[in-house]
Amino acid sequence: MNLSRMAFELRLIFVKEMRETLRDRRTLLVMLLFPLVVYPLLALLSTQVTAARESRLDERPSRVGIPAESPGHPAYKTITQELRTLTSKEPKRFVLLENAKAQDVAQERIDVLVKPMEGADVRLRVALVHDSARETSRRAEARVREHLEGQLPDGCVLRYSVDGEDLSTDEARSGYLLSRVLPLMVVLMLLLGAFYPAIDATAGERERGTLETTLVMPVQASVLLLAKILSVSVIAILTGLANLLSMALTFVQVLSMADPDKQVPIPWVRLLLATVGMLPSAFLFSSLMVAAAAIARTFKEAQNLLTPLYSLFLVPSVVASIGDYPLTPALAFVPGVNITLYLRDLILADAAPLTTLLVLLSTALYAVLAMRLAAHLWNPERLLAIRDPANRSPVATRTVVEATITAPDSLLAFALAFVIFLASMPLQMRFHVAGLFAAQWLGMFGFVFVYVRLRGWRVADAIGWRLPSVGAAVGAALMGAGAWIVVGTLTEVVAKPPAEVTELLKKLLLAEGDRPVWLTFLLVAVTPAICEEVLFRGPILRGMAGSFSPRVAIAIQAAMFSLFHLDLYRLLPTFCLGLMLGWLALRSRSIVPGMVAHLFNNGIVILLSAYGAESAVEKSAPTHQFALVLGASALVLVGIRTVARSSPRRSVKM
Amino acid sequence: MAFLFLRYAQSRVTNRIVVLDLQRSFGSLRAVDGLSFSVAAGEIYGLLGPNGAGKTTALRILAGLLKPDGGHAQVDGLPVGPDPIEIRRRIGFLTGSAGLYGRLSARELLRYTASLYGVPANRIEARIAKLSESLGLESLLDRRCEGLSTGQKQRVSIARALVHDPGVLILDEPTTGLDVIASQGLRDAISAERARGKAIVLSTHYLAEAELLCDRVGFMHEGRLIREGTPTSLRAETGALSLEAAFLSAVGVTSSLSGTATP
Repeated sequence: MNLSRMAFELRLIFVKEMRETLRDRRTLLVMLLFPLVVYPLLALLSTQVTAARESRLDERPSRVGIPAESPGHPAYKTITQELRTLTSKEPKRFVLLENAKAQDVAQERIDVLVKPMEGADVRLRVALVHDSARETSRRAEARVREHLEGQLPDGCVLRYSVDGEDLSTDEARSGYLLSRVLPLMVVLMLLLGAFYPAIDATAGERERGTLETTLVMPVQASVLLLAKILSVSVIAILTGLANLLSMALTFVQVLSMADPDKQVPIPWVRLLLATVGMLPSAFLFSSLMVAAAAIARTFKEAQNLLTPLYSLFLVPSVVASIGDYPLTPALAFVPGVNITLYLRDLILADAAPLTTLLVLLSTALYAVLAMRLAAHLWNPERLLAIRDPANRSPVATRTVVEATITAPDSLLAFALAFVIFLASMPLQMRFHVAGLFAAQWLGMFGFVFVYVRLRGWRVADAIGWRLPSVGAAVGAALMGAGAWIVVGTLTEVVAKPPAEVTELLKKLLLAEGDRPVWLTFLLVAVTPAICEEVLFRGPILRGMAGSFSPRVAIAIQAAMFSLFHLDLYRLLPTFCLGLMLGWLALRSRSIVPGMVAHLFNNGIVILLSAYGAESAVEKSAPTHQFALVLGASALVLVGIRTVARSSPRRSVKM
Repeated sequence: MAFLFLRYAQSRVTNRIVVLDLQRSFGSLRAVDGLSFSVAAGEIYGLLGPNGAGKTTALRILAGLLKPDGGHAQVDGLPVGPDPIEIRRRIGFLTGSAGLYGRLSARELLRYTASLYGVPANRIEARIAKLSESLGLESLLDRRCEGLSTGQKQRVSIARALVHDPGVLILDEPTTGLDVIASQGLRDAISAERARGKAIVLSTHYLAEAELLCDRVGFMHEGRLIREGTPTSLRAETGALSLEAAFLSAVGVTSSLSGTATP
């Protein structure tokens, strides 16, 4: 065959393949835009979490113990005096407990024991008794060591000679090291292990043409689904076990290569316990993935659905793993976080009975809920009504055409805006005010208009640009005026951010004091009220509403809105705000009420913190605060009623 | 209407499948729009019509897969709707796409189905042996289904639908994709089941096939029956030479091909 003919055919086929691939918009979305969004998000979250964790550990004073006086010991008095001075000078970092024993370290009554040693020469010898398998103890040892070794009085000779004395066993140490990496890896492996079997058991049936055969069998959907989920769970557990084993062995191998003299035992009992902790989460992940994959028409579509779900579960797990939070009863109910922290505690041999119970129960509860959802979705009516795209009836096609803006458009708008926003971050850092203005007016407002124009939509359809009724505008103002305090209180109760985060936020809001209030108001209240509304309650919300029921559309849009803010502690408040604003936009069929509410919400917060009224609210008596929250809630409810009355329920279909 | 109900009450006694004024819509599409027919034991009834006439929807309602919006349907003495699982237990259901679990062997598949449909454990092997003899499956039983040819797959699939010896067979375009010989084999198997007293309803858009196989046929168009009768009576009624021509004349399409017999 001649070469030019070959080249011609090569080009021809290449172009055709590319065309086919690029026309599969869903795949593209997952393949390109998804990673663009997820990794920056993950990186930002993890820096925030790490910073919070560091400051949390820093804030905690180290409990330093000294033993009871042994008579005639030369160094004892000097050292005691040294520590007393230290603790009185820095009470926030050190607490002194006298008459302590080494076993107090083991029993976690103190973090480090400063033990004077025999045989002082020029320097005084001390041993720091600590437990290196305990984070607080490691930190206390480092702090005391840093202080003692830094003492250079007489003739610039080091005054102390400091030895470490580690109480932890080899097993506890390797357990500690494993506890830092293993939980996240186990969650990752369980998710990966459930991924393909879940698709195979559901969307795979449709693909292989056995769906109808299965549906027509005389069994309850819940029994069928439970059996499928159990089989997926078993595969996921086997994957998890294989990884656990392989990781433990590799870990030991690497450590003994680094230090051949040292014996590193594998904490078998702890690993065994960790497998027990794996079981309910494997069931939960499998149920969720089976439920999600049951909606999909094809294997590929299921992959596209499960990939976001997979990351959605990975994010809390990563956060928990980096943040290294104590497993409180409240956290025991947060899916993903709870199991990661619980696995850590199991490997540390530190799991409390109450949290064990709560974690297992809540995970089992979520798993059962997910299973019920899966059984609900796996019903012949649904499965057979989803038509093959290839032989969709003419009527079905027509309904799709009616909604000009659909979920993929919405996702695309979100992903693009997010990428633009991230790309503009350096700009925002460098030129604070101008950068923030540019990011919002160009990156959101301008972007939406370009996007809408390029897609050839009518602005009124894509954004909801029409005048609202007076009632809707007034109601929106009331809602915005009350919302900030309701949402703020909710945050305080559910996930109180550490003080430095609040401080940072205030600084951001008010700048370094030299920015006039009107400028801040323009920047943080007026601009977002317009730009964020146009983007989120524009194509993003309306696209979702084109594909889903109003409720679902509002919820998805609110989740996107809160993710966009890239702030772990404001996830919940911005989500609630997103729900409210989304409802406003759909109910009033106009973008304007959302802008009004948004303006009131942000504006009040700024004015209050500018004039120092916020701290006054915080310091007031609990009963006053309660009354305030009650009043604000009433305001919001009246607002909702006003909006609802002025905008009778109509079809929200675009 | 009263007359219809009287007929319905009468036909319940003798008929295994009774459908009266059945309705089902998907959104604004009325897939089944007032369909009525009945099938007696030992009878093969053919639902004939073009793609999108509502045949599959009607059969899926009878199989307890979809719920009707209105009307009545009864299968093997049970009303469709309240207990779809019991209905599914009493029917054999077969579609053109064989729908076999490819990674199981034919024998494993038949055992699984038989157990799930409640065939007593001690009778399963005998049942499989009997079916494989009559359908010629002996050499296939221990091969994985995914490796079988289309015709072989369809034979295993019939065995699957018959393994619990149901009184009612619902066949949705059972010969789609089969060659001439395999189709003939399938028709023989279906006729044999008729001889054993089963009530069989099948859908097809091959009119020649309906003529070969069915005792009675109903022309379905836009969700309802437009003609019903034996193949011979329908030909006589429309004055057409073939069932094909009869169908076209019934839906009011004139064709230059009228009068020629096509497969």
